[in-house]
This record gives sequence, structure tokens and C-alpha cells, in this order.
Amino acid sequence: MSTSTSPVAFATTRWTLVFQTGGGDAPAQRALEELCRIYWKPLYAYVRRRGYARADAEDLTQDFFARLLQRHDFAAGLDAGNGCFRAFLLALLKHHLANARDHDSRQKRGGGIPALSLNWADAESLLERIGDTAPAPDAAFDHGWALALLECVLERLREEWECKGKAVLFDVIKVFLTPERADASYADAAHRAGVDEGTLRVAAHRLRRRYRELLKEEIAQTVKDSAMVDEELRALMQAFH
Amino acid sequence: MSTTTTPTSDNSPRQSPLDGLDPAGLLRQAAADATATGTTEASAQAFIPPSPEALAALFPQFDILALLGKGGMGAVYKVRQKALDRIAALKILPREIGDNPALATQFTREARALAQLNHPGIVTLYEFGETSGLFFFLMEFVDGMTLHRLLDNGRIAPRDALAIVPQICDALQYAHDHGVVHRDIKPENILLDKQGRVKIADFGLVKLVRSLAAPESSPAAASSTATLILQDGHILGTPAYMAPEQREHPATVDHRTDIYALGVVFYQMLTGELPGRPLQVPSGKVAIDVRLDEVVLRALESQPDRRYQHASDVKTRIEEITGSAAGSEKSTKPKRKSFFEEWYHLGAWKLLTYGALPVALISVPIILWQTSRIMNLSTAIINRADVASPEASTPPAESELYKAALANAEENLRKVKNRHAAGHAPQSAVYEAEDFLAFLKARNSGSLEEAKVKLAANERDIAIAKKQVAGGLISASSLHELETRRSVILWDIERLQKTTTGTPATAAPAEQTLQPDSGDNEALAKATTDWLAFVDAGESLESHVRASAHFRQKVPAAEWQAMLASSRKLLGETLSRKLKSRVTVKRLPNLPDGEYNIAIFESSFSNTKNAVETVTFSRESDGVWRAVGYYVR
Repeated sequence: MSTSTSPVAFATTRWTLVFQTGGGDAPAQRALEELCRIYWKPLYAYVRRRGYARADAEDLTQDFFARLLQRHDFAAGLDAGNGCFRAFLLALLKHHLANARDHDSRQKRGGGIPALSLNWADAESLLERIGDTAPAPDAAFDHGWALALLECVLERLREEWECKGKAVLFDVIKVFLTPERADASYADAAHRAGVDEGTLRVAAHRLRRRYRELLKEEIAQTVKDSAMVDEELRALMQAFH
Repeated sequence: MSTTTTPTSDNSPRQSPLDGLDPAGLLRQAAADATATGTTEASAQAFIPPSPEALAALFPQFDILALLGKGGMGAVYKVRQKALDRIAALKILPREIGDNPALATQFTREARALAQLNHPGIVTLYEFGETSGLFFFLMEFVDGMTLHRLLDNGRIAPRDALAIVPQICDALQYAHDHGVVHRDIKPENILLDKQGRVKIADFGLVKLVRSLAAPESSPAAASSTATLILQDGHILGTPAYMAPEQREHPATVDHRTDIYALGVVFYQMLTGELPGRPLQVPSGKVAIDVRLDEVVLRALESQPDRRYQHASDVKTRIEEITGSAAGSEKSTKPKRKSFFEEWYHLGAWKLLTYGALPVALISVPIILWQTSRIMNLSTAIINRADVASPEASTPPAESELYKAALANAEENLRKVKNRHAAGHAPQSAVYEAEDFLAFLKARNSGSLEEAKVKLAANERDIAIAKKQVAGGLISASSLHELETRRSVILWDIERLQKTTTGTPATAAPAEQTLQPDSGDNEALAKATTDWLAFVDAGESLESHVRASAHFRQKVPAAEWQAMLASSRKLLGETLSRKLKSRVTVKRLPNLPDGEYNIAIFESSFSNTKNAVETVTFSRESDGVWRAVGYYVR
């Protein structure tokens, strides 16, 4: 589930690419696949919270992606999304579930769709992590979305540090990414990482800065224009209230 | 299963990279940045202050009441400190300036120097620190307006200007005496409260922020009246108010750069305009005493050597001019340092911080609700110390009190460290807690020889520190600290000499304690009850008149009134008061030998349930017991 390392100056976001072409051409197709790789788990979480059993939810989710990547039902969601991929996907999923009640979705799977590797255990574990904090299906979806986004960002961040040969340091200092870092002390962390405290503080500072950049970059991939990034971030924070 | 969609056969979930991290916190980390600075591409945009809601997440200890204003160097919010129910001003620095932890130590050092400034004309710094990379200052809240606002409509009446400038001079002189240069004097930083009193804000902030400025940050330089931040992140000052040497060699400026800026502000007050080129004298623009031209021009000299050399010189010259015009007021204004000024000069607040010194505590005529720092640091210790003050003459090593204090100090240090790690306490609090513990431990040695060695070392340190202060290498506060320690060591030596020269330790209290006759006991009890009744009723004048001469001399009635009013507000109504101990001694530090009676009460107030009140009475020459000290904790 590794994500491609996108160029820093990503002139067109993945979602604008999909949006503009209706997902029609090859680059748009790749962009859509990429987005689905990151955000399929919240969709599964939503379906589960709608009351479907694991096996059914797995089928419905898989079928949904098959249809999405083949651009079935595509137009139904485009307007509903209002320029936001998250809202688009949820609208489309709801539409899909409504249709699925009338048909046996199991009969429709497959047929030349691109490969999408889905680890259902991962998705279940996401659902567990959402837990009781977001009981409603819509809230669980947003909550799960935020987790998926953060996982993606942290993976990218770790890859970057790994490339610099600093994976160990990364694992020690990532605790400084959150504003409330409980008992974390720079001195202790420095001791564990085997560097002096000043070095560690600088590293933590750089990590935070890079983290903020990456997070915004990733959010920007899912909205129509970059002016919507802060709005989307606020919306995701709402999921934790 | 479809052959083209390929669910992985592995049914165990991978470990999430979020493992152990709070997702809501991660989002907030980014959100704080979104509101504070924008993204890196947007760093050239103006500083956007966080909304009060965004800030509330970072500062749970405050109610964020309103955004008061913002500038190139941060934003200021009106907040309520929940624990103290105190209104304060919270200043946060733009994240791009503050977020460089490598320089946190330097920040701490600078900020500590600022925290030493205690002057009615300077906005008091309560606290400073860093929360998730965001540097903040908690300051005195001034209910009023900035001089900038006052100058919105152009010039102000010369009479008003002449009332304001000397106050600025006083504050500057005080800061300069303490080795602190403001570096960014301008109307925005000069606050006027509702009584027209001047309070200068952001002392030394420019230098401090420069110490933090990360080279990668690049906020845009703004207009001539906004603080200038260069592309490399260095902050210089505000162009219109900057002395020539500050533009050319910003790192090496001294206090005379403030005098130049003061000249610009003075010019602006008199004429409503900034001085232009060529410089037109103020009296050429408005009808004022031509002698004021000389003051302004001299302050504006481009060569620092040709300016007034001290802020106090500017004030003196203005007073000479105004005095000769409207009869000298000088004689009616005795130059007496305020009590708190003296108190701080003595370094006595350190003694309060090192609260295991009950006698030293009580010797101070009055201590009421000092800064939050002191309250936080030594609450428990002072409590214990107070209750047990009759044991004060026992050598510390053998004293249960000492052990308790040591345990408290260790516990305190642990708590402060945790709070600091959680971002709720500044680094300085940790330093202070460490210092305090080290100080207590150092006192553990009960031997006279060791005390003498300590004294010699201390005196050597003082001698070095004096040279360093003279050379501008360290701030005067460090010297104060050393001198405070010296007085404590001397006190130790005096006590130890007593025990080693054959006076039995058990005899010491007997020698110290007088045996007041029953009439005295009654008189004392009545005096205490009566006096506290006035205090309880908030009768500041009655309680002042009935206090000892020493007390009245140290604390003028108005000051006492203000202290009493603020402390009563914090404490609320008196619910109960129980006498815990009473002791009479002959001698208290910093007071003439005589008869002193120290009464310690366990008291309960509507807002503070478990308080300890210490009331010290002295028998005056007419034989009447009168209050000489009062301390609530």
C-alpha cells in the first residue's frame, strides 16, 4: 500500500484531474486508483456501520471500487461532492448501496478492472480504532477518512526519513508530532536515539514542519482547489469532536 | 473471488503508522499552523493570528477571551488564567519565528532577563514558554489604549506629550539599568492605561525574536512603521524609529538606540508627523517651547555619542523646561523607590521562592500574592515552613522541617518537569525548581567550615559577576541572585557559630524566645484579632493607621489599599481562622532588634479554603504591639 511520491509542485491535484476529465483518460484513471488506495478503508467502515456483516461489506466495497474504476455511476456523485473527493465518494457509495439492495451485487463483480489490493483485516482494524467515538455511519466515514489520510502522510514521512537513513530517529521523535505529548521529554528521546538534545530538537522541528507540508499536500490532492484545504482540515477535525 | 481484484491473503492487520499518536492532536498540529502561518508556499503572506478557538486547544489553562491585536511579531489575546481568575494578555509569536527549538535555550535566557524587569512603567511578564513549537508570553493586561491609537488623529497636546515622555524615560532608565534594551520603541508598544499611566510593552522582544528567527522563514518586510523582518528571518526593528546604527549594525546596538527612538516618538507626539529629511524642528511646525526642539534634536543625533546618554537625562531636561515654566514640582515629588522596587532590588523575592527560610520570609513587612511563578513553585514548601517557623533556629540537617522541604522540592521538580514535558510549564519553571532543590541541598551541610567555604566561593562569584555585569555580559539579576545567596549563607554562619561556640542547640530557642507575661499575651491576642478584623473588612486605612511605623514607612497607604483590595478579591470572605502557633523572638533579619511576635493561623476563605496566614507584630516604643508583617498563603 505504498503511495507514490508525488512531485512537490503538483500543479494539478489528483482529484482535479479526475474531476475535469470525468475520470476518462489514463492519467486520470491512475489518479483515481491512487486515491482509492488511500481511502478505501473508510468506505468499508461506512458499509459496516450501516449494519452489513463482514462478508457482505467486503463484497459491497469491492464491487463499489470495481464499478467506480470502470466509471459506472460516476456522474451521480460528481455534483454531490461539491469539489471535495471525500464527499463525492460518500455520495457515490450511498447511491451504490441503494442500488445494491435491488440487485445481487455478487453477480456483477470483476471484468477487466484494474487491480486494487485490499487487506480486509486492515479495514477491520481501522473500524476498531474508530470505535465508539463515531457511532453514526457518516461520522465513522469521516473519522476513518482522517485516519487514512494521517496514515498516508506518516508513511510518506517515514519513507522520506528512511531514505535519509534516519528511520530509527523518526520512530523516536514522531511522538513530538502531536501538540500534547504527555510524558515525552526531549532529553529522554535524545538518549534513546543516541543523539544530543539539541540535534533532536532540531530534528523534531523539521519533522513537524515537513509533516504539516505533507498533510496539506495530501489534503490538496482530494479537493478541487487549494483554497479548500483549510476547510477540509477543519471538517476532518470535526470528526473528532 | 475476482481474479483481477486481489485481496491479500494475509488476514492480519498491519501495524498502523499512527501507532501511539493521537489523530486529533495530529490534525490540530496542522490546523494551528494553517491558522498561524499558512503553508510554506504562503509564508510570504502576512501573519494570520490563530482564532481564539484554535488557540484554546493549545492553552487549556486559559479562557481565550478576545484577540486584542496583531502585528509582525505576533498576536495578542485577552485571556483569563483559570487557576488564578486573573485577566492577562497572551502574546504568541508567529510559528515561523518561534518554531526553532534549537534556540529555545537562548530564548529562555533572554526571557528570564525580561522577567526580572519589574517596574510600573513596564508591562510585567508573568510567564513565557513554548507549546507545540509556539512561543508565548503571558503578560500583565493593560486596560487602555496604545499611543499609536492616541496619535491616530495626528499630534497630541504638548501638555500630554510632556506628561507621557518622562514616564517613558523612567521605564527605559530602569530597563537600561538592568541591562535590557528595548530596541523597538514605537507608539504601538507604548500603552496608556485609563489613568494615563504609561506602560511599555515588548521589552527586548526584537532581540529575543531575532534569537529565534529561523533562517528558512521569510515573512515579508512591511511598511516603515511595522516591525522589519528581513528575508533571512532577522528582525531589526521598525524603520521609522530605528537609529542609524541599528540599521547598520543591529547586533551591536546599546541603550542609546532607545533614546533615538524616544526622540522620534516625542517628535511625532508634538508634530503629528515622523521626522523628515531635512529635519524640521518641532517649533517650526507647532507652537511649543523652543527649548523642546533641543531635547528632540539631541535625542535624534545620528551619532550615539552626541545623544543624551541616559533616558533619565531626557526626563531631567524636560522637567527643567516645564518646571521653569510652571513652577518646580520637584520638591513635592520625593523620589522614593516603591516598596516592590526595593523588594526586588533586595532580591528578596528569591527568598520567598526559596521558601524554606521562614524567618527571612516573615522579616519582609508584607507579602501578598506575588507572581504566579512563586505561587506555583513553592506553595507546599512555604506552607510547611510557615507552620513550623518556631523551629527555624534548629540546624537544617536535623530538622524534620528541612526533610519535608527537601521532599517537597523533589516532588515539585518532578511535577514541574512533567508539566513542562506536557507543554504546560515553561522551561524556566524547571530551571527554577532545579535551582531551588540544589539550593536546599546545599544548605544541608551543617558545618561552619563548609559554610565558610561556600561564602568564599560565593564572594568570588560575586566579584566575577560584578565585572561581567559592568561589561554587559550578564544581566544584573544574576548578581542579585548571588547576593541573595550571600545573605543566606551569612545567616547560616551566624546560626552555626552560635551552635558551635558552645550554646546548646536546645537553648537557642529559649534564648530567642521571650516569655511574655499574661498581660502581654492578652494584649497580643487582642491586637491581632482587632487588626485582622480591619483587614477582613477591607478597611485599608484603619488597618494601615494601626500598623507599625516600620510597616507604614515601607508600604504607603495607597499601595496597601491596592494590595488589600486585590488580595481580598482573590481570597474572598474570611470563613474561619485558627491560631496554629505563636512565638516571640528578639531578632528578625532586616529589622532592628526588638520584640517581635509571629502568629500563624490556619485560615479558610470563601475562595481559598486552606490558607496559612502569618501575622507579625512588633512592640513599639510606646509598648503597644502593632502589625509589622502580614503574609497569606
